[in-house]
Amino acid sequence: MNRFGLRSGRRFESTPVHISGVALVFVAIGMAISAGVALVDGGGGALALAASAAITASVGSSMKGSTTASGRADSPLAFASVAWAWLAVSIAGTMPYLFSGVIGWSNADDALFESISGFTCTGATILADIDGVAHGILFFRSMTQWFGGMGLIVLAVSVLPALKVGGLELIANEAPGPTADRFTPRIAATARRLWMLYGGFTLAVAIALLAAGMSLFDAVAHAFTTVATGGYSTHSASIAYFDSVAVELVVIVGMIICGASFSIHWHLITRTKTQRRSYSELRWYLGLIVGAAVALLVLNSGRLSLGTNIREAAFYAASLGSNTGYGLTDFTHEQFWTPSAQLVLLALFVIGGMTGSTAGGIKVLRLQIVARYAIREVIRARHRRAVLPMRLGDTTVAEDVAARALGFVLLYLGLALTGGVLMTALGNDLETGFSGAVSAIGTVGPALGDAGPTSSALAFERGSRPVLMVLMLFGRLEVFPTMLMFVAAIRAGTRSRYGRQPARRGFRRTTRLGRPPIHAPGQETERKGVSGISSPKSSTRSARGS
Amino acid sequence: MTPRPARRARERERLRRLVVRVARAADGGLHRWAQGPYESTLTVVLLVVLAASFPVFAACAVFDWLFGKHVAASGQSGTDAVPLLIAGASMAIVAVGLLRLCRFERRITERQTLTALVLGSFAAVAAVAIAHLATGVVEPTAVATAFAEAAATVTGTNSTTLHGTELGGGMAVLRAAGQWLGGAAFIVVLVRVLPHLGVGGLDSDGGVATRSARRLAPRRAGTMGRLLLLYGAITVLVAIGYAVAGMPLAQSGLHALTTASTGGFSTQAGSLGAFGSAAIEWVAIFGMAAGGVSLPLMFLAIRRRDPGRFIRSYEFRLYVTLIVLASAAVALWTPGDFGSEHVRRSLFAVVSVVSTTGFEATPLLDLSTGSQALLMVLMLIGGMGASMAGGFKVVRLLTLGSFIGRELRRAIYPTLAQRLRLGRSTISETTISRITGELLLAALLIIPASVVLAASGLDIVGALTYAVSTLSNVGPAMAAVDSTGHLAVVGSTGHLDAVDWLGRTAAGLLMLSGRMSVTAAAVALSVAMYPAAAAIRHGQWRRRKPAEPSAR
Repeated sequence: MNRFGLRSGRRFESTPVHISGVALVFVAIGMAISAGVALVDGGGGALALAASAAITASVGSSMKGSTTASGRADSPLAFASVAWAWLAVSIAGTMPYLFSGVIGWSNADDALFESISGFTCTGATILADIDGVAHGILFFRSMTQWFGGMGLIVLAVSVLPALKVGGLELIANEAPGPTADRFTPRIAATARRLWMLYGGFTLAVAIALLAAGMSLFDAVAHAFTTVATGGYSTHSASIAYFDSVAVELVVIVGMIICGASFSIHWHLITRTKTQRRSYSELRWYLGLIVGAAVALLVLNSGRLSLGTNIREAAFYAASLGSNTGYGLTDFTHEQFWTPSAQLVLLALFVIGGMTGSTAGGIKVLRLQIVARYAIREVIRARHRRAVLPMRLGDTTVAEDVAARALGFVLLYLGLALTGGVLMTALGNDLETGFSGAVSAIGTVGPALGDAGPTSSALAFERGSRPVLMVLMLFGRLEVFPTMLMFVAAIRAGTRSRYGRQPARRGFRRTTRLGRPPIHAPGQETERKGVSGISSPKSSTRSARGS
Repeated sequence: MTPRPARRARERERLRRLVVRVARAADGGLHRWAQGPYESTLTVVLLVVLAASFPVFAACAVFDWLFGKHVAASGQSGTDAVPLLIAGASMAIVAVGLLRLCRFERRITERQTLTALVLGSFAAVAAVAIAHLATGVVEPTAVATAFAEAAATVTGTNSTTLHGTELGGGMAVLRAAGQWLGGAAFIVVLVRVLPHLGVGGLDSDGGVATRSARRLAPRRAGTMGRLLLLYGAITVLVAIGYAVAGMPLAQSGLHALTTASTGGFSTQAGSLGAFGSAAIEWVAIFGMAAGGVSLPLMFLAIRRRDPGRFIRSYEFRLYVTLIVLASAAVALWTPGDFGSEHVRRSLFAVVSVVSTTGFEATPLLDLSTGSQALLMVLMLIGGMGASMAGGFKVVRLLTLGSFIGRELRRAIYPTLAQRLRLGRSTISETTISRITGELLLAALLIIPASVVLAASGLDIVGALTYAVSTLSNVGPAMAAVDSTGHLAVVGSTGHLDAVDWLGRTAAGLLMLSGRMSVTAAAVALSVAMYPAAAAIRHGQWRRRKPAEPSAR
């Protein structure tokens, strides 16, 4: 066996490669189905899809076949697997666009943008004239979002909570399926149930859309992207193309349902019990959508007629409250929408849907935690020694969970700001650049400024679109996996060199103080006269020296 | 917190002894005078601030008589003097009369200290607003405008409807002095109030700002005197610098007041750029940068003759790094010949924003969009802790950075136990939660505030940047507000003109909550809302409980 663990006939152990292979095989199946649709439709693109399916399947199965998943399931490995899998399918997803000539080879970066936007369920599109594209390709395009949502739903309900990413362990116990101790079987069982639910919703939305008057192709494609809260449409005008209240109603209900937690759906359908905390999040989620709709109604009242206003307000509150990103009329038009209403939409970009759903953003649960946290600080400024547990519904949020959620929110906001600065530095104007960054990391799709719901991502400068791609991947995988996707490789290196335990700088630093490391985040009552800082060394020295 | 009887100071310096004596006399006089039946610290604070505005108004009136013609656009002296004197005197008479009816409470709880702080600043705002109304620089009916102007004066924000050239001499000096006194009051709060409260983690600076501020002298009064002296010295130095650089004498005095306090009001319509002098701009750059540096750090470095203190301070290093990197970015991103003027203007824009002064040499909209975005982020960050600057403060950014770093590590090592450190000292979890609380409150405030600002007349970018700018006490924002095509970006010539009364009130409130820290503002609001909240909770108005014993 050589140093890479490769020997003829032997598999080497690499979870990221294995998982990426499995994901690629799934995508290849999707491409094959799309090729079938293209054949039936006769609009072309079948050959391109079939070729991509063949390539993807062969690469995927060889990756899958040559490796095994590791028995370990620690977080760096899981992060790496998830992030690399998303990257792999995104790269594979460029092939149909390139082969069919929908996007030229000289614009291969645009194809990658379209693919990443699809698999991250964002819905920002690079295609200026969607109606002219072959139906097979469009079907594949909607399907990328559906597949993205499929992976995501397992990730959001089961994997990330189990890994305690960003305070998501709050919902870890609610995942449908056995609450077994072992990670892998539990995820497999959960995934089966979730996909059943997901497929059921897709079917229901497709039937409802069909009943509302859509063609079969449109209904299925829109059902895919509604359930995935993605937002790709088969028409440039998005939902406005149909100009039908019935379609809008179906889409609104679909978006609201799919922006809510799938655990709750499962428990409601199977009539099993869940914690009341998740209902408090549901209440906030619905309250936010209704509140946003009312705010939009009030702020736009002078500009639009009452009927249009109600339609638009309800539609956009649902579309952006669940981070789907379907468009009706262009809200960036100054003569229809007031700037203040657009700012309300920007707030919705940031907040997003519920945890345990395919929606993006910081999630309503974290907004709740943030709000409680901020209010608690106000109370603690008045009553300094107060010990105030954080309540959500009938549960108490532990301090370290809250700290994780806050860390996530801060990181998210920092990334959005950095992305906004980069976007503007690369040539976009302030409004388009910043809202584009916020929209990308929230995986919404449309932005403000030039990049409204009826225009395309071509409104962003070409050089700045890679920033959006990175932000979409960050936002989609809850920031931490994408940030830490290289850690597993680095750790593997340190492990082989230094033995089993990796070097932990954090530990060494704290234990040098000569006492066991104490970690008690949050509720430390402050000692008298030491407000804020306790210096372990002699305080006179630091006063003189630091 | 009960004011301490100022005992005989041992220091030899005559100046400081004088300050202490005056303070002691005022303190003692106040205690003897305020012995009325109605026991309320809040009322006493309110009335004292109102009464104390009389000497300021009187001094401004005297200045107007003597030098007004050098400052006022009309070239006449004494145009504002009489209204100022009358307004000040009538306020003082009413306040002193009412003060007779009140007295201090024996013990003051923490939340009352906070409320007193907020109420005191509102009283100062009221006094300045009355001056604006009395002298007729704003319409007598435009109360919201007067409020916003007064808030900008007190908090040191360069955001106004008045062009500098429209003002009489008295108001020009009152506004400049108001910004300077606002800064001085901030030092008093920093030394005497905040260490008791730790609001928003202002004391989280790894041992350079407030913690050492309390150790500058054996007594707080001494510390306060020293810091005020340093503040005054910086002001005088900047004034001399302006004068040497070629600014007229009276103007240089006024501009020094607004530079050292990082306020940003100017007597010129085009702010500092109107002078068109490189030397003046360089003086302003250094003055503003000094305004953004922690005062205790500066004091210790000077007192111990140890410039290495600056280099050893993490916060100072990050502050300078931010300025250098951002200036380089702005200079590179903005098209133009890469001459000394280009570099100077870029540096000026960055320093003006980081120190939250708000002077402008060139309009911000002339910079590239990337630079504007960068400047907006710098506005959010602001200067160093315990400096005259507003904003979120560099030290909190450092702390949050290490907090996020720990969260990233904890994602890999779920059981990681690690204390956060800044230099040699450990940052407690309480401090971190205060800082994050402050940031989250600010974030939760900015969104609705920008919606209100947008609803009252600004466009999206304008509303967002203006909300950030006012909350950080800067003033300028990125929005074109003039329909004539002239891009009026700076608050000194624009923004408040663009918004209606609702937006002006919102802007004034934002400035105040930015200066006092959002947490303090929220606490004051919650105290003010207490009866209403109690009514909602219990279905009836509830009497306030007797004051709890102080935590001191």
